[in-house]
Amino acid sequence: MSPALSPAKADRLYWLGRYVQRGLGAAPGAPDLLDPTSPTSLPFNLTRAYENGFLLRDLLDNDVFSYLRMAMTKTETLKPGDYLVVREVHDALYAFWGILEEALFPEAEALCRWGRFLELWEARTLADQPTLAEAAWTQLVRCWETLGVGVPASQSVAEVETWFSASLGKDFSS
Amino acid sequence: MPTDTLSAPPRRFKAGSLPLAVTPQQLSQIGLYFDRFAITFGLYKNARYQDRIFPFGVIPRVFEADEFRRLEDGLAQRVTALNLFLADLYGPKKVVKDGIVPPEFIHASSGYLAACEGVKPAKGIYSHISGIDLVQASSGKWLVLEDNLRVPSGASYPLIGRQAFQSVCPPTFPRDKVADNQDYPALLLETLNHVNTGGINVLLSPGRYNSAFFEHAYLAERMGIPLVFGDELVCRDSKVYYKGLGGLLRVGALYRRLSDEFLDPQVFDAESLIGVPGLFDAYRQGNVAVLNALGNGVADDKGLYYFVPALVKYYLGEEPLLENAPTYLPHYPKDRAYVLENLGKLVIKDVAEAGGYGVMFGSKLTRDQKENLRNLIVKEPRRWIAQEVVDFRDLDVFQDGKIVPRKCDFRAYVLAGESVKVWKCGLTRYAMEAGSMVVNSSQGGGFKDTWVLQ
Repeated sequence: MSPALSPAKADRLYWLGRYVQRGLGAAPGAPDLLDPTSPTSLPFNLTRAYENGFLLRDLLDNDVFSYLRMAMTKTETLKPGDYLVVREVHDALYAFWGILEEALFPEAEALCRWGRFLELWEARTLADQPTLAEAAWTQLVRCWETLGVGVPASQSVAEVETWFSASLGKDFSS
Repeated sequence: MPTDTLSAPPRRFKAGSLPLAVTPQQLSQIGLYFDRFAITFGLYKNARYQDRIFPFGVIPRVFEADEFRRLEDGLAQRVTALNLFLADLYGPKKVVKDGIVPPEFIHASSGYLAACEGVKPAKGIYSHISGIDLVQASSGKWLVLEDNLRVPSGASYPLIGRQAFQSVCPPTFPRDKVADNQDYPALLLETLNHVNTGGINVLLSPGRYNSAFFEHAYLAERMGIPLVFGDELVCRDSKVYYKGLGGLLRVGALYRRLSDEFLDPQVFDAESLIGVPGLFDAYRQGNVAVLNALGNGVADDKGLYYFVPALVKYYLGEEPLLENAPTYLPHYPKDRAYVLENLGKLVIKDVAEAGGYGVMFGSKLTRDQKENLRNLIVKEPRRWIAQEVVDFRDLDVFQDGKIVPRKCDFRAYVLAGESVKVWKCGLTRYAMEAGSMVVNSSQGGGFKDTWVLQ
């Protein structure tokens, strides 16, 4: 594990990945798409992704961060029915994922992707898309291999979520 | 984009001795670059924090090589003397015993920390990163306005401003004529490594809502060291550790970007939640280097500033190469009489304030305000200094689509490690309003890059 990561940074990377992916999952036609109080909306998720990213600027480098910024700025100007701009927000988020590999060291990238593929795996499992869910699970296993944290005992959503906290929640102050 | 904008001829301007031509399109794109990368210097307005893109004046300040070399010599001399002063002050205090600095200017200073008496920082260096603020008077002479020896901020902005200019106007940037300024992170890291007591280097930030958080993250990124908050560090057996995922990692050098009083709640402000309990003990025992050292505030106190030329003579036996702006200390009866008599033409500064706060131009005060200030000066003379207003030079700034003259100062960065080095760049700050002399970033001022010709 890289010395540059603390549990707090790992947690932020993981949640950064989750919120970015949730932003990508926000459906353009959904009535709550622009409702900042709705947990499935673009502003709700991108505000949280942006705040995590802001705190991680020392790791993300300016180029990676700029795509988050771009997605956030475009989201702030979104008006109902602006589906093309939603597409542009998504473009910026895909660009974020694309450049991540070049900018982050492997453990940090694996933590961020852990959050991303957990979102995808959960969504696909709940949508009863076993083949796609399995593909996301394979990506999760790759993240865990990079981090050397083992693999959770079962593939239940609740168990995998709890397992994240247990893997990173070690408190060195006690 | 309208075609008339695309085909508009380049704007020509002179930056020092360099003629430059930049298209209007490029000038506006530099603003977009700052927004894209969220290059911010936050502001507090009505007690609320706002992320604000730091206004960038685009047209650089240009130093001729000779002119900057003369400044470099003076800056290195000044910082060397200030480091010797701090070592003396928290040690034998010869400077007080010899009557160079009156004792009340030490003990009444809010920057003086009794806890630091007898503490020797790693390698004996106190001010590793000094930000010296200067202005160029209309006569051309450079004058020092202020020394910043605690947590001087701002170096990251010309660092990234240069990248912005080079990215947006690559054919215009005279690469072969201007000293590269991208070495600052390496110089800083070299300084950290020099005093490191064994362990990793970290940059300690007070948090996301600090005005200069962008700078903290950017410098940490460029140096390749972790940006940490107080709760990511822990002290054990008088040593500081970073709570890494794989276990505790010893910290050998801590580049702190928070004030002394918040660093360790066990010794200073007990309510600080952003510090590290036990840090001072580790520092006192020489188990961690803290940059800059604790207690430096006594040497960049506005009252102590008056004595710096005398300190240069005292410690180095040399004539100061840089002059202070003409300054009066109401502490001395003769100066006090002059200040009270000439309040209307002086600038009065509260020595306890920083960041442009507590600065009053006598010419702008009402009769009642002047009277009130006179009473305060008589009551607490040690709290104030007064300076002649220096009519410092205007420089061209690109603001709101126009090239306009604005008052500018200059912050030079001096790094003291194995040797004392002056960064061949610096932060040129400008006032947003015509004629205004308030250039402080925390007061809404903007900045320019500084090009040193080679």
